[in-house]
Amino acid sequence: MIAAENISYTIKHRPILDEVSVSLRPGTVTALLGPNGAGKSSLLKCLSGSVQPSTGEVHLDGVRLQNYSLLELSRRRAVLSQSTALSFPFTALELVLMGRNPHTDGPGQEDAQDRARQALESVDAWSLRDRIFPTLSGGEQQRVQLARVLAQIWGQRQACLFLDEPTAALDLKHQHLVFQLIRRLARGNGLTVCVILHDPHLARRYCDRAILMQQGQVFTAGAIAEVLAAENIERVFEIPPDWLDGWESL
Amino acid sequence: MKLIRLLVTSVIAISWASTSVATPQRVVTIGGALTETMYALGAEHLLVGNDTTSYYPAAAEHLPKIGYQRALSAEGILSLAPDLVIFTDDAGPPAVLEQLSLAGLKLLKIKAARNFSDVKKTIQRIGDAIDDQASAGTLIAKLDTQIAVLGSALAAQTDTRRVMFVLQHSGGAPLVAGTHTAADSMITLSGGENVVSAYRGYKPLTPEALVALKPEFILVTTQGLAQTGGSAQLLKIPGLAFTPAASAGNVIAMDALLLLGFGPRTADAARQLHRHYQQL
Amino acid sequence: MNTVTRASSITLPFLSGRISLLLLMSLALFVSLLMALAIGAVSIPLSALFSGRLSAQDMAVITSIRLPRVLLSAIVGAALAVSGASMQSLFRNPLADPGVIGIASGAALAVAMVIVLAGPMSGVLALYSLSLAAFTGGLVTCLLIFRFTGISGAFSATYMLLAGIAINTLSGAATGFLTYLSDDQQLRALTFWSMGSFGGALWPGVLVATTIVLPATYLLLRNARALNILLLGDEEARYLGVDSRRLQRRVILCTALSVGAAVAVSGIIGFVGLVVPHLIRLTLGPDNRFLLPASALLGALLLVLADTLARTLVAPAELPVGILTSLIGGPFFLWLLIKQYAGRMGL
Repeated sequence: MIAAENISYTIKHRPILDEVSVSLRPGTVTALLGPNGAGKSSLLKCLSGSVQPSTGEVHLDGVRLQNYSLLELSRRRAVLSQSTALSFPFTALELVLMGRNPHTDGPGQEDAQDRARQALESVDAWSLRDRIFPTLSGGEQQRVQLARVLAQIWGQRQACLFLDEPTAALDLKHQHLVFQLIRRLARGNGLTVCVILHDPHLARRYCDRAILMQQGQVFTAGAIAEVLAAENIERVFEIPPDWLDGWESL
Repeated sequence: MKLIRLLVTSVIAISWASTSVATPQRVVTIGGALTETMYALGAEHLLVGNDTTSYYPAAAEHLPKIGYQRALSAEGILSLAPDLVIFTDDAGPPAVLEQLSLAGLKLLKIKAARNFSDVKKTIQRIGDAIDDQASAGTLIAKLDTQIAVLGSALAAQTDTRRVMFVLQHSGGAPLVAGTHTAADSMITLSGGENVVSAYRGYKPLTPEALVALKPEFILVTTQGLAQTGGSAQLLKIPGLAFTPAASAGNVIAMDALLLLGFGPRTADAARQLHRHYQQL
Repeated sequence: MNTVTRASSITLPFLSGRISLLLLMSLALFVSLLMALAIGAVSIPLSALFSGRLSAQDMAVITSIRLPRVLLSAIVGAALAVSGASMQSLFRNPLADPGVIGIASGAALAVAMVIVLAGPMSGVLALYSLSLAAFTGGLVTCLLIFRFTGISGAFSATYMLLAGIAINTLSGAATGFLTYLSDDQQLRALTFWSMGSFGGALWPGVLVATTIVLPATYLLLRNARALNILLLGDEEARYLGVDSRRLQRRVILCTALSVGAAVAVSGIIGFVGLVVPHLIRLTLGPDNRFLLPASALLGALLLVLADTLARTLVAPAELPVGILTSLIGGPFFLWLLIKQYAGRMGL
């Protein structure tokens, strides 16, 4: 359970987030939506503990995020950021195994190989395990990075997962595969999942809840169907809803 | 009987003593002037190696070279199995010299000569080291004669010529010798006057500074002149072109070792220089 | 060598294969040290070396000249190679090398300043103070480059190389200026630094280098796994529990120390930190847990061999070993550049 209370975030006097309060519940997939510049990535960074908000606090399971050490945090939440570049010739399996780094000296240190394998299989990338990462295609690289992030919390209950556009480079089949996987993990393991994505169709199909951002503020939040109502789409994304064929009838 | 025994033991003792302090048989000399001195003393049969600054006489070029005197190699020197290494304070790096002494090698350091008395001292010390004081004495006497001849020539001169020594590196402002340089000492010994007295060592001078110094003679080494491309090229250098020396075409070029080495030919070199000044 | 796949480091036979390779390299290093002790301008037969029946002078050659020199070249080789490998992880770029990005010349400039301002010194204490100066110079340049290239967020190779060119040029100019200021004695000491050489190796130098390089290298080896994680990115590393800021500071400190000590005792020797890790990466992969120790061993081995060549090729004179490493490393660096940037958009 992650709760943010009235957080604001400014960079050099430029307000990025303005009095945002959200909560993410275990067992649910929450979509973080909004146009570019709305503050989605910054909100994700605050919620995942990557940056500290200028005002307000974020709590993870009742404890302030700052009170967790870097290592403790890394054992209970995993984050997939947008950049996947790596210029060194590690194999896909070696990369995914790096995801188990937080656990090397703690509980969960055994079966690192097993968890890595399962993570790779879950994203349909086990066949890529001995491939050298920089030689993979963009989509393949994204799936392997996702496997790494999943491996970080694989098999854990009540962990948190933050994903920043996890399917941006994937083909149609793998987009759906990944989101089905995410929903399964959320339901089955009680994971708290927060995803940034641009495709409202995917969001509507696979996410339970949504937070719609606009200009650093929460425009609306709640169940996915309500948040993605036609008038909200028009107001926030500035496109007529009939551009999304038959949106209302879905 | 007792007397004979005493005589025999003393002879044995003396011969034993002289062999235990053996005269060096394999000598390495580091520094052109030192090598030259060995040849002048007739001791070239003792030489087993020298450095790249030792090119006179021509025979010295045929010996193994241990490198540039400032960048020596300890093992290189040791591989020649010398029993004596003679060098000046110009030799280096200091760590290599320390390595040589740690290896138990006999070393003789001689201060680089800057005047006639230094040159004589060098000859004397080398003569002592190779146990040939007789040859040393002869060489010193010859040098004294040359010094005396030079002395009377200098006494007879009426005015002092203004001389500038130029060390030209290809491109850029030419380096001119100030005080505390071999060139400065040589100019003074030959009866001239170094136009530069304001600084020590070598410094690059601007064209205007060169003109302001008004040298009557420009002194260079033959090696340096060859690098520049000849007198005509040298006098084209900005600054030098407008000196009194240039308008009269007074460029004196002498071999580097002869001019600056301060070896046994020093007095001869000074005399030659003096004769150049007088050809005005 | 397949460029698309490779057996992953975690599969067991490969793992034990790597460890045995490390042991093999250690053995090769040991053998090369022995051979280097037996080779030199002074001919000392190997049999005499082992039987111990050496003349007093030969013994002196071995203990006072060859042994410190061979040990020093091994230590400096290891220091430069490990520093290069660590720097490549720090900058997330396989082209980083203490020489190319200017750290070595920054260290040399600091040494030049000390020599000109304080005069030439000798002895253990003097070497330590020169090492301190070199360390400071190396540290300052490393931090400068880090700040400058990290501005864009990604450690662009272009920025790094440009920063390296700038620093190398600046250091060259400053050293040139110092040359102008210096007298003959200082000049001689200064020219020593521009081309690395082990000709002046003495036991104090070995002592200074060992006491600085060994702890620094040990610290880097201990952080090998964390360095792997750092390659994913600053933020990504923090997500995985690695304090990237603290790790970066540690790497900068240790490499500046190692490179500083190396420069202080032997002048600038280039390209070892570039060539050695690259060769290891091509064969053993980029995992720092193996790359770092393997680089140390190979770096030591290569520099021992290079120095042996340097002091025998033109005997009884000797070549500065820095010339040899540049002759080999320079073209290698060019080849790396071409290979890396051919077909790419450029960073």
